Amino acid sequence: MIGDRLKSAVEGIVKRLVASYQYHAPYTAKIIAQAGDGTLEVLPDDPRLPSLTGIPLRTFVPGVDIKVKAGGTVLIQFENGDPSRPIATLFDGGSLESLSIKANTKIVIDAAEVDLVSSGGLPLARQGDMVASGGTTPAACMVTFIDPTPGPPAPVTTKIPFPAMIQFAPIPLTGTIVSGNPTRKA
Amino acid sequence: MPRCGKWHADLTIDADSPPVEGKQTITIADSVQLRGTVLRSGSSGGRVTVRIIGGAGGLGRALKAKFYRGVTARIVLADIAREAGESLSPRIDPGLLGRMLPRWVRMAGTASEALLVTCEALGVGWRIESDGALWVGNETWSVMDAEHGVISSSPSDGTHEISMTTPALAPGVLFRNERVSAVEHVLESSKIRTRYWVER
Repeated sequence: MIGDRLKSAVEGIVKRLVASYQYHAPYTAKIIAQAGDGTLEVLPDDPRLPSLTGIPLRTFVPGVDIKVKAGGTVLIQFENGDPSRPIATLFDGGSLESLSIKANTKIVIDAAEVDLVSSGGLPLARQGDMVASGGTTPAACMVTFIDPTPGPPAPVTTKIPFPAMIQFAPIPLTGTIVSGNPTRKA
Repeated sequence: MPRCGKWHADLTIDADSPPVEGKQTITIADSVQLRGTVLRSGSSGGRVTVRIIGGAGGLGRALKAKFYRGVTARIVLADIAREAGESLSPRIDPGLLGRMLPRWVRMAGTASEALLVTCEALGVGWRIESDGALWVGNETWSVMDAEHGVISSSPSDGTHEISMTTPALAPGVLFRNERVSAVEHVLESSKIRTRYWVER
């Protein structure tokens, strides 16, 4: 007759044999802090795991440096199911403090639209784009004509000197941006 | 006596013997000593039967989760042994014990689970030896020569039954050109029959 004792014994054997498979599952953890070298101190939600320090953060692509906020969430995994190789991967959207991307040769962002702000952004200017200056409002000024030759004043009939008003019609000035940083293109 | 795991001994003793409990040493023919701990004992039909398991019997203890940074394998194994009430064998390869672990995560669970995970990661086996110490490592399959008489053999099972003057045969050795995987000694009166299984 199979009783609890036998089942417990079999359970114990099976649990021991599959104990290492626990290292193949991902575990959620809260970010406690990020060290200067980018590694994390985390507190796993599962009580079977201890708090961890110096855990490397694996980003989605090489060259990406991510600063995360305390209180955010990461997934703790073990590379190849190895207890000596814990890493932090993924995290929720609210935990990103800063993101920097470094590449040896080039970074290409190619899309129909690229927005650097979520809303209220203005178009960027590039080499070859038009620049407008000179204003749109006509300028008004007073001009006084003075006879430059010395001697007695001219007869009254010449009516010199006399003030005059000259009104300028607006002539917009345009140009082109002629230079830019050759290593930064948009 | 398995090559991987802990040995146990089932004894039948006189009913008027004092209660058998706690740590015990089994001495056989003044030459073989087995150190273990009583797991269960009880009387029946005027006799007392006792099961003794190798070592301190602590591998079933629950261990807390632990995180290590920059330690050797010795530290991880010694912690498991100490927290389980066991002792590490002095015969463990120092090279194995000195292996550096930049990080190590021990999950909460029993000592035997932690031991299995650690051994699997290190690529080694483990057993409780006759002196009760916890040995960890890879077999060297040293050759063992001992006086014996062959009672029976079953090549299809990979088992043999022999008679010996002392129960000296243990797993992990090369005996009669075969690797010994598990050994069972049966002692009745002054006779010792040994049955052993060989590796496939």
